[in-house]
Amino acid sequence: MTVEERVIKVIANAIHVEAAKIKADATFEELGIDSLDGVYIVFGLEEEFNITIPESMAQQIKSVREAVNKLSEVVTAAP
Amino acid sequence: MRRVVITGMGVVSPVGATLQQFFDTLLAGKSGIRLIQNIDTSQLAIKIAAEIPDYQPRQHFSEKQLDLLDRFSQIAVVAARSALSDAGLEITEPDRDRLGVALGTAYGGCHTLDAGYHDIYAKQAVRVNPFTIPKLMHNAAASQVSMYIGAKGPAFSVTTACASSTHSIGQAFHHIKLGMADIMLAGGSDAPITYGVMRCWEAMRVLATGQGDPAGACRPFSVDREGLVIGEGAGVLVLEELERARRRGAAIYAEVAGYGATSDAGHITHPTTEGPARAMRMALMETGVPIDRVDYINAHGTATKINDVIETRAIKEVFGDRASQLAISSTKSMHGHVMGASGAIELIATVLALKRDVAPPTANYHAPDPECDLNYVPNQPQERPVHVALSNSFAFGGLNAVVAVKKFG
Repeated sequence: MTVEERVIKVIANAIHVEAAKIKADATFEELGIDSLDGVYIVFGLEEEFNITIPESMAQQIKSVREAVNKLSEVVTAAP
Repeated sequence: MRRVVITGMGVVSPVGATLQQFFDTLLAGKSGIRLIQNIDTSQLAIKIAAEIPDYQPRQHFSEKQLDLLDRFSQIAVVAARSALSDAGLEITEPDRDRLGVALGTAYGGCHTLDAGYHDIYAKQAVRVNPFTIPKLMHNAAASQVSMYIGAKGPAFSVTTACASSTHSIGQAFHHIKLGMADIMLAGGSDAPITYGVMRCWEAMRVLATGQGDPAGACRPFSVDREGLVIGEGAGVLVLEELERARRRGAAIYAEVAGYGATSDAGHITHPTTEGPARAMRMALMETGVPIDRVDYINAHGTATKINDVIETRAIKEVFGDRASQLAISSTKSMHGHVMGASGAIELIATVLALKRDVAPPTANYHAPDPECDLNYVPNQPQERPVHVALSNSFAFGGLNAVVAVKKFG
């Protein structure tokens, strides 16, 4: 699975929709994701990638693309 | 002074999720206590409880809603919705500020707490579900009910162990009487059947084992009683100001006529006789009716050795010669000890007894205890006029609450 597929899987799981319905260029606003969903998505991403997402980074993630980009940086940087 | 009536009731219990099924099961003396099915009992000494059978959360809530609802909040919302529908109440915008919620619970979101602690302590998890706090807090059920039905008046939770929902109903009654609200959804919920909670209860050595006969495990007032049985459930009553109920032509079950609450200020688990007796007297005083109008008491009746003796003494102290004329039953023999929801579920049984003039039985009653020598309605219901009835709840911690209901009309 690519980082993008894994991110979409986490978001789909958190907001209870099919992964196929989540487009890679969708914003969280378009997906109807509120702040509480956002917290749950960050929790899911941490679990999926086995990382800790600092609060400053969590605040910046407002779309699927941003999540993928941030996660790609972290995953690539990891040893 | 404003008067308060009951215009709707909703129940989710081990013996039924509709009023009809609930009361029919009680009248039939049928127990909902069984071998625990919802959690692994291999490491438990006590393997019985009164679970809600056939409860499917997904029939009532979406997956997204369930992310934020502990079991005790789910069943509170389900009971509140059915109480509102039973009352035939359509809530419109001007009503909302005058509509309140008062719910009791002893354990709050203990499923969520159990799961969170399991992750932290046992699995050494790096992270915990971020919804843990809003799910486990004791006021979650009151908040969720308030949000689901749009109640914007006074809303709060009460936690006084086994008396929680009797206190919440009493407080709700006084809120309406004093003019703080016109309608209150009052009652409580508890879902304490988790591995952690069951282990802690086992340690107290007050649970019935029910070996060989789970359904017959809880035997209040019977000489061979061996302790209480943990249950789960929710009960919600619609308390409404009388004139408002009349204006909309609501069907009225009964009038809430009195509330008494006292503290033993004695021992954390060993009850006194005078604390419960004073609570019954206080409730009766508010009703303003003579004690010979009281016909039925839904007892706290936990089936522990000590409670049933103390409660019998307290009833005799309050009622004197009238005590032997009363029908007194413990429906815990069938729905188990539903902890913080007990008072609500038992008040619903009390109201139906009063409405239909029939006292539900104490099931599993085998033989008299010399220290419990009143009419406990053994095994068979007793048809008799019920003018005024009491619902007793006496909590660990010595906190006692009694609600009195009166026939209306």
